[in-house]
Amino acid sequence: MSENTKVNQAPEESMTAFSVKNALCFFVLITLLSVAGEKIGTHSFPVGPGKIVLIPMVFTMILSLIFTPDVFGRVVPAFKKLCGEKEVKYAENSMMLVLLLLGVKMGTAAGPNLPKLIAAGPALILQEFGNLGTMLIGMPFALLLGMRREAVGATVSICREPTLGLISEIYGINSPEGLGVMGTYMVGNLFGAIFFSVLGSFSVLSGLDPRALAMACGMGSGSMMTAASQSLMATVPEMKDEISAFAATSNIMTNVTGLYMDFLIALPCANFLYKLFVGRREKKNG
Amino acid sequence: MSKFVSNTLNQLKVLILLSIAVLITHYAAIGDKLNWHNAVIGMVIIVAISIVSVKIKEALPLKIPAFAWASLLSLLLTVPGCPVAPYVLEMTKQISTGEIGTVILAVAGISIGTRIDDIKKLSWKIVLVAVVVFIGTFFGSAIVAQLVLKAQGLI
Repeated sequence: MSENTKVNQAPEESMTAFSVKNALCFFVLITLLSVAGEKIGTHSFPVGPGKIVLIPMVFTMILSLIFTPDVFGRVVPAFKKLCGEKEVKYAENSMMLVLLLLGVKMGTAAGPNLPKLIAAGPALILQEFGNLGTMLIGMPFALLLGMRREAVGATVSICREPTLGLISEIYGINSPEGLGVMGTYMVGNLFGAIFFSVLGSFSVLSGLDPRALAMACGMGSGSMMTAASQSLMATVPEMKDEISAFAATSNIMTNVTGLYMDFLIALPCANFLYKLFVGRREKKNG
Repeated sequence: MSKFVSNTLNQLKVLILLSIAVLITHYAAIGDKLNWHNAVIGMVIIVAISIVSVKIKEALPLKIPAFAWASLLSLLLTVPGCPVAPYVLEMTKQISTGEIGTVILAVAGISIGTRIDDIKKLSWKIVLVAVVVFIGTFFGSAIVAQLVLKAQGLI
């Protein structure tokens, strides 16, 4: 999945390689899948003390995972004519563009709320450092599971394209660090949106203010931000506008600072934590 | 035709296809409540801002994704006091983030369509670690935001 964060490439350049048939098949498929998701609608069910809200986009994502050449296409080979390699490639290339529509729409939620956003400016800036939470709890956990240098790559951030680029430039993509970053990247692609849409609605239980949670939704991945903020909005509908405004602004900040944060702060911190934990253990053992 | 023009036309073509998908999805969600006239104008505005942000990204050597430019431009166009703000807001109000999100995840789902086999290659360890990483970034940011908002007396 090529995300909005893919900054070094211009995937849309290769769009000329597709026929009108590819474009139309892709268009029909996403329309049918989206309409199906909306028709299934929003469902919420209580889990323990809270509730999980499943929004239409989650059903759409699950359906679109099923209606792919690899799954449905294997059962019904004729389906590959409608959605084959080419259509999948077309989808990959359109990802950056479709996210823009959302970027614009979220900006229009932020604009009218500008005075509120300025008032919350310090929180919006400082919460960027909260992204280091990835390694604070992820690193010890990965080390406990027996990972070594892979842990540095896997927990340095949520591992979207910029991080992937950075780590492979510094360590090489086949290094242990590279394997780690690739692992988190793949899990994010496959399950990130679905995971965050559940987390988005369930997170309200933590007692944290919906505005703080909204800021947390902007984490530098377009699809994960969408999933998390939309299900947060569905869970706390009376604060819809504010949630949208804070999530959009926080996402702009993560997009702008992301790569520099990774390089200047996150990676040195991950290496420091690694030495701290592994160094200590080795002293104990030896 | 220069490369710039053909590139831009291709991007526009995709954006227009995606916009139609969003409008149809929107209609499926809310039915006859949809104000087609305003929704179409709203969509045209959104596509226009989107294509401008792609061009800004391509023109500048900064490593800032087009997504950020898109949000920033539309934020500036809807700030209180901006002369076009009431019009832009009135028209784009017809399009909801929810339905755009649905179309995004349809595209996202299809785009990983030929990589389903990668699931088998992932070890259970990396899946667990990634989940902890996701929880870490989300609550890390939320807790810092909560503390700062509280310190400021905003909540």
